Amino acid sequence: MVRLPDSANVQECSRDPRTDQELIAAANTGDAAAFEVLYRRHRDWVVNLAFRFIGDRDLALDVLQDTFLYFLKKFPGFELTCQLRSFLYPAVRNLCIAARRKAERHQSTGNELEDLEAPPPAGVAPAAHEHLAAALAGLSAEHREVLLLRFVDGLSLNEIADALEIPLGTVKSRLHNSLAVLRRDERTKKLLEQ
Amino acid sequence: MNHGDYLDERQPEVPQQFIDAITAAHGQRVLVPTEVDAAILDKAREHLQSVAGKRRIIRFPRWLAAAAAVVLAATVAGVWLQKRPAPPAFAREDLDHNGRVDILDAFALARKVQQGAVSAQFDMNGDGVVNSRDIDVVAAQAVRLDGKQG
Amino acid sequence: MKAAPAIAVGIALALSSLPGQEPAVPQAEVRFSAIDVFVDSEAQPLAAYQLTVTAPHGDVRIVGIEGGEHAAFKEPPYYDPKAMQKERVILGAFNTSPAEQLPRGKTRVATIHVQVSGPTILNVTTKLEAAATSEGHSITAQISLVERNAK
Repeated sequence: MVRLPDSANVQECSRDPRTDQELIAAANTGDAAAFEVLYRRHRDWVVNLAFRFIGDRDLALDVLQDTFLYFLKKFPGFELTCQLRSFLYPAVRNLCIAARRKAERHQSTGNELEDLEAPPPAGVAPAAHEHLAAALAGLSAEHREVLLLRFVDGLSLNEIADALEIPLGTVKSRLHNSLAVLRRDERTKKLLEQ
Repeated sequence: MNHGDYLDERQPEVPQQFIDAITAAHGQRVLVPTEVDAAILDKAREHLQSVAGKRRIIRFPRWLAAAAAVVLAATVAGVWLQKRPAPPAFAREDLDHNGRVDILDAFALARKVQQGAVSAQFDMNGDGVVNSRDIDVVAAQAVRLDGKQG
Repeated sequence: MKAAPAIAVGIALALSSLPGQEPAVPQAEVRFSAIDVFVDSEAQPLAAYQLTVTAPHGDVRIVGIEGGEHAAFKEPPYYDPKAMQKERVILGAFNTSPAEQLPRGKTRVATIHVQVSGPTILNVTTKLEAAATSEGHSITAQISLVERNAK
C-alpha cells in the first residue's frame, strides 16, 4: 500500500495531543483550528461508516459534509457527554437514511437498518472474505452492526452502547451470540480458531 | 477463552485473522477529495469566527454590584425568617396520592404536560419549567430498586 | 454373566486411576439468554404498566433491557441502572397516544437480556404492579415471560 504524503497541516492535526473534550472546549470559544483537528481525526471513520450504510461513494461524501455541518451547528455551547463517535453514529445513520430516501425515493419498511445496509461491494476480495460476508449476511442487522462497530470500526463496548442507544449488556449479548453463530458456521469457524 | 468474562472492555478476544477478514469484507475505504475537506473547513472557519467575535466581557459598575449584594442579602434573610411550611402529606411525586410513587404518577404528569395543565408544583427538578425532564424524575423514582415504593 | 457388570466396573475404576486420566470436571458454562415480557390487557388499550422481574435462584444476572414489539412501547422502558448485573429489575413505561394507537390483548412490552452462569434452569418470576388505560384508569392485566432462543 502506498502512503501518500500528507500536507503539513494534516500532519499537525494528527499529532495534536489534545483529547476530543479539550478540542471541543476550544471550538466552543471559536477556535477553528481545534475543529479542524476534530474533523481530520474522525473524517475517515464517518465517511467509511456512511459508505458501509449506503454503498455509494458520492452519497457517502454528501453525508460526510452533512454530518460535520450538523456537528458544527452545535457550537458554541456543545457539551459532549459520551465519546464523539458515539455521538456522531446516530447522526451518520439518520443522514444516510435521508440521503438514501432522497436518492432512491425509498419507502421505509420500519426496519431502517436492514434497508439501509449496502450490498457487498463488487470485485470483493478472495473467497474467505466472501464466505465471511455471506455468513454475516445471515445475522440480523442488529447483531451484524454490533460486530462491525467492534471489529471494523474499533469502537469499545461502551461506545457501541452509546452509539446505538442500547444497554451495554445488550451489546455484549449480541456480540457473544454473533460470534457463537460464526464459530458454528463451517464457512467461518476456522477464522475464529485461536 | 472464557466466554463469560466481559469485565474487560476489550473482550471478547478474536484472532487477528478474523479481524483482517472482516475488515477486508466490510472495511472499504473512501478517499475524501481535498475540495470536500476545504468546503467543510471553510464553513467551520466562517461559523466559528463569528462565535469568537460575539464573545464579550460585560463589566458592571461597582455601585451596581454592591446594590445587588444588599438586595440579595435582604431576600435571603427574609426567606430565613419566614415560617417553614408544614411537610406535605404525600410525596410530591405521588400525583395520584395513593401513598406510593409508581409509573402511573409519571403517566399522569405526562398527560398534564401534554394538555398544558401544569403548574409550579410539578417542577420536580427545580429548573423553573415543567417538561419531560420532570416526568423522567418521577419515572426514575417509580422504578428505583431501593426507593420507597409506598 | 453375572460377573460381567463387576468386571466392567473394575475396568472403569482401573482406567480412572491411570495417570493422566483425571475425572472430568464440568466447566462452569456461561450463556446469554433473552426473556420476552408480555402484558395481556385483554380488550383494554394498554397505556402504562409497571412490573417487577426477579430471578431468585441460580446465578442469573440482568445485562440488558430492550423495548417491545408495539410502536407504543418500542422504546426501552424506564428501569434503574443499578439493576444491571443484579437479579431484580422494575420496569415501567407509558404512552400518551390515543387509545386507538395503543396495543390491546397480549403484547411484548420488553425483552430482558440475562447472563446465566452454571447449569441453571432459568427460573424467573414477575409481578405486575400497575397497568392503566389512556385515561389513567387502572386495569388488571396478565403478564407472562418467555425465554427466547438466542440467535
